[in-house]
Amino acid sequence: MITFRDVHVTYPTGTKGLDGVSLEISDGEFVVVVGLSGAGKSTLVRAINGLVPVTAGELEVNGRRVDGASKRELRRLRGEVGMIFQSFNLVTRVSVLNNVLMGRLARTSTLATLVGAYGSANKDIAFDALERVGIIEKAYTRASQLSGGQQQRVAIARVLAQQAGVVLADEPVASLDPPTAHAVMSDLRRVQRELGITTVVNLHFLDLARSFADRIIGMRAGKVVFDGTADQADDSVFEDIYGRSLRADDVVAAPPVTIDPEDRA
Amino acid sequence: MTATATERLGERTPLRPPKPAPRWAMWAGVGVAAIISVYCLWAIEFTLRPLVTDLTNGQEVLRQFFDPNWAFAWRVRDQWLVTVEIAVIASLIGCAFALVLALMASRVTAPTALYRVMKLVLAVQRSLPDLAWVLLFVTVVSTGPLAGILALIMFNIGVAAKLTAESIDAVDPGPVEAAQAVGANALQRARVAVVPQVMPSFVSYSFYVFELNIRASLVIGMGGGGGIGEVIRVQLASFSYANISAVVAVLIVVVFALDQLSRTIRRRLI
Amino acid sequence: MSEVTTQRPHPPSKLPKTLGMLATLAVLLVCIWAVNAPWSRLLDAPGIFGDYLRLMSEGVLANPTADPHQGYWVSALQYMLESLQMAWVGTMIGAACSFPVAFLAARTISPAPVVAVTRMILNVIRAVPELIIAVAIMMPIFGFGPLAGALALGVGSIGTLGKLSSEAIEAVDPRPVEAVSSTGGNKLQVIWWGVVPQALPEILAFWLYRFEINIRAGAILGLLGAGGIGSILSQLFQRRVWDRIGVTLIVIIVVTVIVDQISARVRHRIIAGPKGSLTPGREPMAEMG
Ligand SMILES: Nc1ncnc2c1ncn2[C@@H]1O[C@H](COP(=O)(O)OP(=O)(O)OP(=O)(O)O)[C@@H](O)[C@H]1O
Ligand SMILES: [Mg+2]
Repeated sequence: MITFRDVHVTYPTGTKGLDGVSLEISDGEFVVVVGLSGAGKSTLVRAINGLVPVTAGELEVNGRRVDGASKRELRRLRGEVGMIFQSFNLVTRVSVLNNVLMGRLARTSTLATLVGAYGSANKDIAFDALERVGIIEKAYTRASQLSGGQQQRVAIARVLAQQAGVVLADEPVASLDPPTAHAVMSDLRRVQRELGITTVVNLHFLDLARSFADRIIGMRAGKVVFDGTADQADDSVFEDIYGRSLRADDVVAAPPVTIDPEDRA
Repeated sequence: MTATATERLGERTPLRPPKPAPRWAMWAGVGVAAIISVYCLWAIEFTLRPLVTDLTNGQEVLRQFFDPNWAFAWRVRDQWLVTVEIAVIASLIGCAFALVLALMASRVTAPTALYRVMKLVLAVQRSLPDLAWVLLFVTVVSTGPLAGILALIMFNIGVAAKLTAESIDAVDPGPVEAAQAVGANALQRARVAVVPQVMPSFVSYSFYVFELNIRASLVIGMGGGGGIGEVIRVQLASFSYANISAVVAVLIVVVFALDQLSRTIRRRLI
Repeated sequence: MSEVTTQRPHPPSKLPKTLGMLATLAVLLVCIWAVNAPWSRLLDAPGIFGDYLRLMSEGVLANPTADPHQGYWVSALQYMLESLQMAWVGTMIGAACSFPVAFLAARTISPAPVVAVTRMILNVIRAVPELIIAVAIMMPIFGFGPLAGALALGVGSIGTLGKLSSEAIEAVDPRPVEAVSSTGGNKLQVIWWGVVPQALPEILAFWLYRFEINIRAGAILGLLGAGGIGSILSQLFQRRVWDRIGVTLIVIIVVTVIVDQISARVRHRIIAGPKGSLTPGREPMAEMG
């Protein structure tokens, strides 16, 4: 359960990232956040694991307060909240397995980390995670030798290795080609269902948002301007969120129904 | 006309070279450099006249240099070994320290206060020339290889830590952020997300440092730190240039060979 | 999901890595044993070093306007100034000689035989220690003093500056060069208008970098009588006048750190331009030795 109570985020530059957001995300929900560039999607997601500090209001994740948490408390919280990035953020020079083992860091002692001794229990967890995303055979391959889609699956496995109850994903498929984007989203959705993980995903393709989300949250200028089921989010809702009519580049692969013919040119 | 051609090319391609600084800054810089140059030439009484008047003074020394006493270079083989041993110990230990210090001297891996302090410490440490370090350690542990090792360790830390810290500053921040997001502490982040990224540069800096240590063996020995430089010091005192010449020729060959060797090893490791 | 363990790939052998580490460790231990250094002295070293440090700081903290400490500061500054002068003139000589040579050593500019010969000469110069250039050539002709030192540093600088500058010249963007040649310029015009403007910032940065290195490299020349801070340093250590050594070392540190900072700023400004928008150029230090 993630609860925002009138959360504000103001960056040191004075820019308002979040402007009075109140939300409740229940356990096991798959929430997709949409909005134009600069709307505050990344800020919303990063506030949840404290990568961006909340400047006013209350933010609670699984009963733990994120705002005002100490460094140690934040580390514990982050151990239970997984994060997937647009650019995968793997350590490309080490093996896939070592990347997945990163998910165990919050539960590994510093000394064990320094000497690289993760223990067989952690390794079993990492292998299970790789198995779930279907790339166990790449365990000992250098991450740099994987395709983009495979790298993002490794990142998903890293999150699974955390055995996290909450997963955050900031534009997880924006660097992938359309078929791969669909495949990776399907994988994410599948493991999310299997394990009942609460998931918050930023997407800017509305067809992906519609086909994968339980719930869609629309943002504009740091505020939540739409909050409803995927079925409720029809084209007019998106036009409302975006403040403009829809365009061809708002979708990954243009399904015929969603595009206003006038805007295709 | 040439300018417009270049400009049009530049428009088409974003790779255009950096815009030159405004002219006043450039001319001010040129002016200052010219003034300093004139002053320095005057201060050290720069002249090339001795090339005409005293050229013959150098003949005897040069003649001996071009007639190296090869037997001597072999006779001092024990000192060659000492030089290599000093270089191996100093570069391995120095670089190990340097890696740790570099992690403390980068904003990627250290808190602001710590990395500012460490950057200053390293700047101070690098400012002392190798000669000063040997002279200092000779007074502490007396002449011999131990002083040479300690001096070179200090010297190596200065070089390797600075270069490595700069590589750390430039690592891809993505994996570091990912490590932060899984709840890793600062040491874990450094070990898991930073060290693997800088390892290739660190390894090549270490080879470079080893090579520098062989080159520096002359200075080290002249200052009292043992090894082949000590031989040079003794031979200089007795003006035995033919002996010096042989030793230096061998040194040059050794440095050259090490350069090739380290290049091959680096290529295979990275 | 225990049945999946059978699908796990085999881990690659750790043997090469382990062997490499063991070999390195073995080499280190053999060297430590073979070098036959009085390692036990390391136990007393921190105490002795602490004592010396205390004596040195007494000199540094003493009233600098009273004798004899005023004299210590003044003479240390004078010697350091001489070191800077030697390094500057050495860099000037190196820069002036290496600039034309760099074009001869650039594959994109000169014919292959010229490049090969020039590079070989540069490599030989780079290989000969400045110490030897000073002893064998400069001091017999120019005598003792900073002039011989500056000339030795200058010749030594030609090697590295020539090599690095030629690499910078080879790395210039060829499109502006083509643009100039397409207007029908002769070779010299092409170099002057197409190549030099692009390569100059980096080459200037190399010169400054070499200046920083020459400040340090000059120390050993001083020991031989070629002027600068090195000429006084060894005498002071022999006489163990700790308060004066302290003053001298502080002067070296402060002056060098300040000069390094200024030089680094100027280099950054030259390479990145006034806004500093570009990432700084690669540090050439790793090839400067
Ligand atoms: N580190 C930062 N410092 C200052 N301002 C920031 C910072 N990060 C984001 N902002 C500003 O906060 C606002 C919200 O940014 P955010 O990154 O959350 O947008 P977004 O919806 O994720 O956009 P995009 O789709 O481009 O990723 C923007 O105006 C942005 O410029
Ligand atoms: Mg974003």
